[in-house]
Order: sequence, then C-alpha cells, then structure tokens
Amino acid sequence: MSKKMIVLKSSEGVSFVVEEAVARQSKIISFLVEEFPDRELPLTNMTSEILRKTIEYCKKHVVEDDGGGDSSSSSSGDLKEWDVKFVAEIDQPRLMDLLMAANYLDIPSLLDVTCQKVADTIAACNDEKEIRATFNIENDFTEEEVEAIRMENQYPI
Amino acid sequence: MSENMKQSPEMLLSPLIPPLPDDVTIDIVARVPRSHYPTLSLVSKSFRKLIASPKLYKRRSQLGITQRRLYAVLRNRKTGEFSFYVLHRKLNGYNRLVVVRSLPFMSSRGSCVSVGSKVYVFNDLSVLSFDCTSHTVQRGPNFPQRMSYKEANVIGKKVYVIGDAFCHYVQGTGWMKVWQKAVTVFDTETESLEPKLVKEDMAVGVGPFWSDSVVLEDKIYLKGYMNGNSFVYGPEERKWELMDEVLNSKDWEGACVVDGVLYYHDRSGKALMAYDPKQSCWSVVNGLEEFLAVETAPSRWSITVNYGAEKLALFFPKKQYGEKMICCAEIGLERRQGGEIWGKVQWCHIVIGDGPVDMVKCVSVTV
Repeated sequence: MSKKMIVLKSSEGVSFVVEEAVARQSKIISFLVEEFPDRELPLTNMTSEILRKTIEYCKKHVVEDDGGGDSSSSSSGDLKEWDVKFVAEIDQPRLMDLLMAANYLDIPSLLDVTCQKVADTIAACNDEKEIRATFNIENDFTEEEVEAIRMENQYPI
Repeated sequence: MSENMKQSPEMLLSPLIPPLPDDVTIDIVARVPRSHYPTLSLVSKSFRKLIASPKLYKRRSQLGITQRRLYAVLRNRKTGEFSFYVLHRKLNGYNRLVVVRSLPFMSSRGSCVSVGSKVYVFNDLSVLSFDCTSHTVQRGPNFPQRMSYKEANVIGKKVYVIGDAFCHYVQGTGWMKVWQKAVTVFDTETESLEPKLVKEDMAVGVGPFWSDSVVLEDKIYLKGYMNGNSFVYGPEERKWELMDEVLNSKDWEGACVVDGVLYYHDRSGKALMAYDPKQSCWSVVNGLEEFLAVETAPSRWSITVNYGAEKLALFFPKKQYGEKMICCAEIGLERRQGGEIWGKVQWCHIVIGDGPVDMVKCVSVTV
C-alpha cells in the first residue's frame, strides 16, 4: 500500500515531502490537509532547519497503523529517552525556535518536551542574572526594587 | 480616569520571554520547581507579576505538576503564640521551617486541616482559611456554638469538627443546656458550617480525652488517652462505635495516613509502625531500624505527616551542642511483595534550631 504524501515548504522555499500520517501530528497541518488536499503547505515562519527538526520528531513519534497491531515505532520508554536526547542536542536559540514551531503547528507532545527543556534550563541557572542573559530578558528593576524583593523573599511567597 | 488609562501600566509590561507568547512561558514556568520561584521573581517586573498570579498555580495543577508543601503550627514558649511556618527548601538544598508572617496566629485551642491548596483553621469562635499559593486569608463563618477540645478531620470536601459544645438538650416537655460531644460539619465548597446531631446510641462523654485522630476508609478514628475512650465516628450513618481492639492496642499519636495505611512513630519501640485497615494488623516498617535508633532515640515527641503518595515526613526534637532543635526526615514508603512495607530516608535536616518553639501540628497541602 502506498502511503499518502504531502509537501511542506519552509520560509526559504525548500520543499519537504512527508508522509501524511507523520505531518498530521500537527493539529494545524491535520486541519489544512483536510481543507486543502493535494496542495503544498507553505510554512513561511519556519526555517528549513527547524522544519527538518520538527519532521524528524514527528517521524519518530508517528504511530504506525499498518504492519499489524497497535505498535508505535518505539516503546514508550525508548521514546522518552529519545526525546531527552533530541532536545539535549539542540542549542538554546534553536530550542526556542523549535518551541515556537511546536506552538505554531500545535504539536502538543513536542511542545511538552521543549517546554520541559526550557524549564530545566531555567532551573539550572544560578541566579536571576544568568536567566536574563540566557533568554535576553531586559532588567526593568531598579537596584532598590531588587533589594526590596530580596528582603521579601527571605520569607516564602 | 478612563478604564483604558487605568489598565495602561499593566499593558506596558514586556513579554516574559521574548519572542514567546506569554501563555507558552506560563507553561514553561509551571514546570520549573517552586524552589526557583524566588529567583524568578527577580528577573523582571513581568516575572514578578507572574510568580504572584493564581494563573500560574492553576496551570501547575492542570499539568499535574503540583508539589506537597508542609505547614506547621509552632508554639512560641515565651509569647504563647501559635504561628504558621512553612517547610521551605532553600536554594542551598536544605529544608527549613520559616515563619509565614502574613498568616494569622492560631488560637491555642484551635485546630487546622488542609484540603487541596487550602488550610482551614478552626479557632474558638470562627473558621478562617488561607490559600497556600498566595497566602491570602479569608474569614469564614462563626461556630453556632462554642466548641472545646476540637478534633478536625477531612473526608472528601467536608471537614468534621468534633468537640464539646454547650447544646440545647430537649427532654420531654422541657429543655436544658448541657455540655455534650457535638459534630459540626464545615463544607469547604459552600464555606458554611452545619451542626450535625449525634445519635444517642452511644454515650461519648465530654472532656479532652483524645490524643489523636485520623481518617481511615471514610471514618474518623479518635484515639483516647485511655483505651476506653477510643471511638470511631461514621459520618454516613452518623454513628459512634468503639475502636477495634487491634488498632486501639497501640498508643498511636502524631499519626498520619498515607495511601490508606496509618503510620506513627513508636518512640519507645524505636520503630515506624503501620496499620493496614484492610488486614486489621500492625507491622513494623522495615529498613529504618538504624536511622530511628540513632537519630530519634530519646525524643519526647514526634509527628508524622502525609507528604504525597508513598511518602511521609517525620518531625522530631533533637539536642545538639546543648541547643534544642527540630529535625525533619522525608521517608519514602514502598510496599513489597507479600505486603511488607519498607521505608527509606530521603533526607534528614535540622529544620529549625535554637528557638523556644514547640511543634503543635503539621498539615500537608498541594500547590
């Protein structure tokens, strides 16, 4: 049986041919495929690199209906391990892009994994300065304000 | 000033983590362990606002990322005040009991319980509650009649407060007012109190004769200082029974219930004891012999509290360098094949040192 393929196009105009079952893990793509069958789907806010990563994730997580039984491509324990490795290999800026992609395409499991990885990154920071630096957050507190909050934080919130 | 103008300072707050939508950042922060929240509140004004917002804690509970936090009532021997403390994990990894100044004192004759993220305090005349995500205090209703020697226990969303009350007693054509055991129910959903009559089929006297009480299988077990004063109250049938002999055979105090099993620290036997109501028998929790013999040996008191699934916390006093301290140990519980229960000490810290304080009560909340 031949599998139905669809075409996704990145912001650079690069086309990716993907099995429909793989792409349908995105709720947005799932919707678009039904609305516009046999059409190339342009994803203008995703770079080829991030789109490739996203597809890699979806391929690993696709549940294969054919081949008998309800076998997913991997056991859930292996899959978890794979997920951890998958996000561990990505650097901070690309992780944020991937998280944005998961959010935009509405892929709940990928959003879970990337959110958790960002949460771990925050937890690994030594202080608020490191958090600001890691995520390019502007400090809008005055020194007095910081001191006041520090005093308050002596007692639990 | 127009509505828009009033809102403008809030609208000006920058996104939490640019360029992420704030909803996504809330999902991220919800996954960060709570112990990092004080640091996060220093990142920016937007973060400070988020850490203080109920939205974040709601998201945590939706994601099932809740944690147990322990709130203890400590009595100050000098001032006689009963204050609320929280077991707070410091950034260095050590747990400490820290006073929560925004919370009111509890009456010395008060009692408290937890339901979800809230603690309900039953003082002499009224009920008050606080939400542990924000420490906002809410005043509740007054007791219909004054109650003494209160024991409060939770079944579902209802708190059963059992104690002595000065009640009307109707007999024949007349009535009189007498002290008798009464049960008052506090519904945490409607935040209202309703007195429940006690059926007269068992005479339960008045006085402070209970040393501890727990809920097992939807019934309230009240342990008497003397064996004859141990009772079981079934709210369904509003019925009193005598406690069964096996459960009554041990002088349990400072007990807690974890996954349907009652635990208490037997100080003289230097053991953590477990009572499974399904089998109606006591057993010793294995694997803690050395810890209990060395650490908790001559303690005058000990309090256990449920610390989530398969976990309890044990508080006990300790003397070090001539100073009185309170220690806390987190103990993981594992039921092995054949029904044996094994315990493992996850950590044991001095949680409060050198203060004239006594521990009165500890409750576990989910935040």
